Amino acid sequence: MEEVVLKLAAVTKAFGPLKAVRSLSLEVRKGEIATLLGPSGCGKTTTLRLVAGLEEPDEGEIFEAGKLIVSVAQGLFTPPYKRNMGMVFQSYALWPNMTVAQNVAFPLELRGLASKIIREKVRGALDLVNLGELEQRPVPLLSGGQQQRVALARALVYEPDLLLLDEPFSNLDAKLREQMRVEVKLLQKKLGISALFVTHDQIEAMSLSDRVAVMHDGDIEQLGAPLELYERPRTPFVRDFLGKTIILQGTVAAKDQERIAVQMAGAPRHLSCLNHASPGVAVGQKVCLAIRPEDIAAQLSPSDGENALRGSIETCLFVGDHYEVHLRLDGGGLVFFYLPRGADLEEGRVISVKFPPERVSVWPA
Amino acid sequence: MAGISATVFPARLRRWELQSLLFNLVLATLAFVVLYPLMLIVLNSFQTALPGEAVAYSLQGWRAALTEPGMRAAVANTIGLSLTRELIALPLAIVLAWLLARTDLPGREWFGFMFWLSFFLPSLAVTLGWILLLDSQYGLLNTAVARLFSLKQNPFDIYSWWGIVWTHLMSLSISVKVMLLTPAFRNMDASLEEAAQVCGAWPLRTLRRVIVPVMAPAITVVALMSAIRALEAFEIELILGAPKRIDVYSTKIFRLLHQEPPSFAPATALSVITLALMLPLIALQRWVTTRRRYTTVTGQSKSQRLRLRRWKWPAFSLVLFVVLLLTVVPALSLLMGTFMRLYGFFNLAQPWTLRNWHDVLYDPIFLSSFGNTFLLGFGTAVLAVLVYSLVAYITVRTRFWGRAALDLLSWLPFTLPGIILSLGFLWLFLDVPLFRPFYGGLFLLVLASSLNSMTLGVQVIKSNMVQLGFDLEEAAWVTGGTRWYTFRRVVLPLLTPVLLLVGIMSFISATRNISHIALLVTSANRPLAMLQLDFMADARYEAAAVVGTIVVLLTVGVALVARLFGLRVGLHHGG
Repeated sequence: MEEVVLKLAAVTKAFGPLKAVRSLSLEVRKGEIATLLGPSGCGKTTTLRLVAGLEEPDEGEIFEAGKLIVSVAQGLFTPPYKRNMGMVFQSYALWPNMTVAQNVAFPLELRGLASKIIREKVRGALDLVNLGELEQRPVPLLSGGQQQRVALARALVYEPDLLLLDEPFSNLDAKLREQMRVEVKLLQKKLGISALFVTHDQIEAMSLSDRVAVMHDGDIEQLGAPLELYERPRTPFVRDFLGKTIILQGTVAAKDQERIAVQMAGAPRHLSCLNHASPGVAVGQKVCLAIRPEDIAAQLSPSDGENALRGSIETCLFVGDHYEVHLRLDGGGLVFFYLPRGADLEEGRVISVKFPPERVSVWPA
Repeated sequence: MAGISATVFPARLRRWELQSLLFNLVLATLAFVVLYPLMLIVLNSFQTALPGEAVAYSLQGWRAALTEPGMRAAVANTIGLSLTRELIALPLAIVLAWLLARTDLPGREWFGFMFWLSFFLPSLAVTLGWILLLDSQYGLLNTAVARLFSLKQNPFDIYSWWGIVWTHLMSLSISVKVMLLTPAFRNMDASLEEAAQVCGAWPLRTLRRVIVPVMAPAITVVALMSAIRALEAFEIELILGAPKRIDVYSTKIFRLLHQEPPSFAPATALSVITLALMLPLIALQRWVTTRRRYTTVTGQSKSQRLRLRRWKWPAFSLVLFVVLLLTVVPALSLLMGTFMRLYGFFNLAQPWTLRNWHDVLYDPIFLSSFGNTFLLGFGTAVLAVLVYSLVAYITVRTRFWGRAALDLLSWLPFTLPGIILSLGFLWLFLDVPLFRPFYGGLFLLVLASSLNSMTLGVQVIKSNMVQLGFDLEEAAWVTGGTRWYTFRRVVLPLLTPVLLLVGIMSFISATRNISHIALLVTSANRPLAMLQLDFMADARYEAAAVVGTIVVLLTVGVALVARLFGLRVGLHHGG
């Protein structure tokens, strides 16, 4: 059993009539980056603030490193300054009246360390984020990326149990964001710290996290490794929120242990599907089929092979490094998929697309 | 297109000339009204003849101002008293504003309202109320405390140095700062505070190490503004300083001009000295406000108020105590005073009476003063709205060459202590034959009052005009409206609430403030506030209390009615 640094048990938080967090439970293990991912207003930032102690829950319990720090039932609430967490704010929240070194030294001073040790630790933390030479710089004179690093150094310097990151990359431009993402990942690996990370950006979440919790409407929809969430979403929300999904209508024609055969309008044969998000469907039931566009294989010469569907090209968009092809299926459904540059396709041409059975999932309509 | 421009051009040229003429006229008038009196003060400090007499230059006034011990004491008192009360008021106001803006203090909305109310209580009324409580002989609080601790003599004396400090604290020193600081604290980026807490800083440490330093620019501005305005002080010292001869420069000037014969030269010299002493403050204030500040305000501050927990009720009690001292206590005391046969003498056989109200309300002097106050208030409100909006419009919206000068001129009256403004106007109206007939008329007071509220009023209108956005106006021009037509049909209607607000603020300060008209009032144009002061000078405290109560009802009443209609009369726009 891995060590758990943070545990939320059935935590609820409401702002007036609005329930921001509904009976949410979550564990963060030692040394992992756990991510709360979701659209704005799903309660992910509130959850983070509950962990930091900046909000007080209405129900539930919170444990920090196995110790109970919040329990509504017992009337226990540990204020933020008595927890041992580090936090990087979306706005960085660097104190503009202090220099870089003073900002990083502040939490150490509060812990009553000797000034010699403070100097060493500040230097160490700033070296870690490659800002060693900017110690005496006033904070307002830093660039966005530098401010981000100072905020990170300030949150790490006192070796907190858990690092909290609230959309830390959202104020950076796209290039810098990618660079910081890699840096944070390397730093986290190197220090072996545990982190709870909040973002609405799925690429950020996927690339940085060991585990992702997709949040919707104040609760966790699905929790798992990034690839697992992407390939085996368990709810329509997770399926549609992560990546692009094509939805087609059909009726269950036959069903056995592993395979569901679905009849689609205008298709010559049944489509067989192996990826079962909901095995409970019955023969004759109307269902949705879901497939990711990158899983669709194009066959430029029309064929009627297994799981192949015919259609005519409606439009072909060049999006920079590949083509996005929109195809009207013979049965009326619309799908799109990707083709590499150099594919020579004109509008109106009839081709076939093949849906690999292991990539097609069946959902109740 | 050529045909159209040929026919339109001459008309536009004429209009343009007219407009430029108007702008220049505004600038010239304002410059004259603001700068000429100042010049007269400087000039007349070197001459010893009375207004209207043959001019005689000498250094006698300066000699008197620099050598007479009374003069030096007045300057020393001015600095000592202002500094003492500012040093007490500022830290207290910071803590109060922080409690109101950033914690879950119970009743904080209501407390904010009470500080706001306190802002509208005239100083003279507050002074009168506290006299009843803290008079060295009969003060209610004084005797109560003496009895409680069985002291041989009463512990407090309001007619003293500390009495003056106390009354200032209870009048405006604290409440104005709280009103200015609370919105500034509320707009602070909450995450700065939260970051300190997550790092392990306790609330008071967060306040001391992070919030106050981060808010330092705003606090400095408020401190400097208050310091400049502290030199405005007049009526409290005039009443409370009289028995022990504690004079500040403003009361000294007043007394120099009210002795027989009036000594103008030392009074003007003293004014010049005061202005010179203020210069560094003014320069500093100007520098701080124009300097680039930290960006500490963010749009997305979903801020959680700090939970005070077990400090909740102690903090509540503290704020409640302060708020009651600022409002209810002096107001009730004042009201009680109006029903006393002899002010403060509770041990008479029949201490209570309705005679005072009867006497004052049927006194023709009161009735004419009441009329004067109304005319003064409304006149000031109308003139203020017209002039301020014009000045604001020209500085914000046009490319008029003199708009920077106009801006500076509209800001200058803020730094002019009322008594000096009053003195300058006195000279202006006695010295310039064209104006002499206006002396003793209400117009003179209206003009002085309009200048008195000018800086704040122009600021408020300007900030609202800036928010309005230029494109609304440009859209009207494009559809064919002239500048004046657009101003009338688009700008003015959109600004109506703000203009009403400025009008009401001007009405209230014209009704309440004294020092800027103190030297201009005669028995013919005397408003209520001045009547109250005169009653107090004659030791008719009961009648003064009645007049004071009526002034309070006027100012607070107007402010409350305005608030009912959704107009936030106050300071936060200008800050």
